[in-house]
Amino acid sequence: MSALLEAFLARLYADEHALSMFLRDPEAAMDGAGLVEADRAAMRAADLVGLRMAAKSYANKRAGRGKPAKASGH
Amino acid sequence: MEAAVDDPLGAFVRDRVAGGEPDRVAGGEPDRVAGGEPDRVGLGWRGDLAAGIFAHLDRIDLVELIADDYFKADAKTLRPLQLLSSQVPLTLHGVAMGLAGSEPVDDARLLAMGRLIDALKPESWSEHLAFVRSGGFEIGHLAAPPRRESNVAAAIANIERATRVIAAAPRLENIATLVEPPGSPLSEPAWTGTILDGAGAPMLLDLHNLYANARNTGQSPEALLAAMPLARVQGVHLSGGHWIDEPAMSGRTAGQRLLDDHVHDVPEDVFGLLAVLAARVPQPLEVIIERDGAYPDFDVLLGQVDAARAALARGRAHRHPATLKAAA
Repeated sequence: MSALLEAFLARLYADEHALSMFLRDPEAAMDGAGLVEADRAAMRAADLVGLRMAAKSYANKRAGRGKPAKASGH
Repeated sequence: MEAAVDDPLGAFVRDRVAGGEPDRVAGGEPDRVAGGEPDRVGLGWRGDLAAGIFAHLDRIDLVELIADDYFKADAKTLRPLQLLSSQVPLTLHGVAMGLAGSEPVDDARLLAMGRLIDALKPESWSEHLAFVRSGGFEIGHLAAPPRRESNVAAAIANIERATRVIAAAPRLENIATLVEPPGSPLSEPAWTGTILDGAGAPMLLDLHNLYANARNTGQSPEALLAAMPLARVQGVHLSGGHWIDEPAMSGRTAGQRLLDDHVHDVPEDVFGLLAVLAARVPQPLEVIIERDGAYPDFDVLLGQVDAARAALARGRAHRHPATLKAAA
């Protein structure tokens, strides 16, 4: 299910706390996200350095624009 | 009238159909044969560059405008852009539709793009093969979705819907990413080609994005370029970036990755890729130099426009025999 994996990635990119929790305990962070086992395996194999760098880059972009990470209305 | 209030996007599309309007912009299937059409090179419109662009229109073939910056613009704000559009070919570039995401594109963004296209009459429009939000979270920038068959259909549906509303297919741009998206059995070229073929859409090939992705994943930029769906390329972006340190993580030696930042000059290697592209394809190319800050003297930017023209000329002079045959 691409939509659930996308949503999980979006949260890691947009929420610094969620990324920290994932890096500390990936299994716990994935519990409740609705990911199928193949997606959980993909996240276990993910490039963690790249995830951190990408998340930081997105945070810098948001800070530059003054936008909140959480979409309004959700 | 009430229906228009309830469904402004539907009303927008119905008005266009009722008016018998032809395609608003010149998108759609890429031209396969050059037929004497020249390559064109221009700049991205930014407020800081406005005076330089207006003063040097004799050296700029076209201008690209970030559409999202003007979605809420009033008539007074649009007036100088309409003047610009009357003097130089314009192309509109969207940055936040999230066409490659699994979620449907927001009606309001499509409507805003359609209205801006009506106001400015560009030759073409473009967006990114990216997702920018999901599950209620706004990433704030372009992110690479998992490259897999299961999201290809959603991306094609989004692009086809955008094409129907705008009455022309967007040129779709490859993005730079600091991380290979998890859960991606498809390569970037295979995923890109499958979506573009499925949607029948042209490509906006960002050569610095491609260069950065190749360098960050240990691939040859030339090999990555060759694997892309080059027959669909109509537009090209050139920009610069800088190397950033990887964070130290346990058990791993920190290295560096190339960040596409649009605030540095276009590197020579990227002009080299443009020459390779021009040697491989017969269709005319529209090249935009993107610069978002740390602006140099305008002469430096004009120098980069000239360097792009020189790279195109080098490539066209060394076209592969197969390319020449295709163009004949």
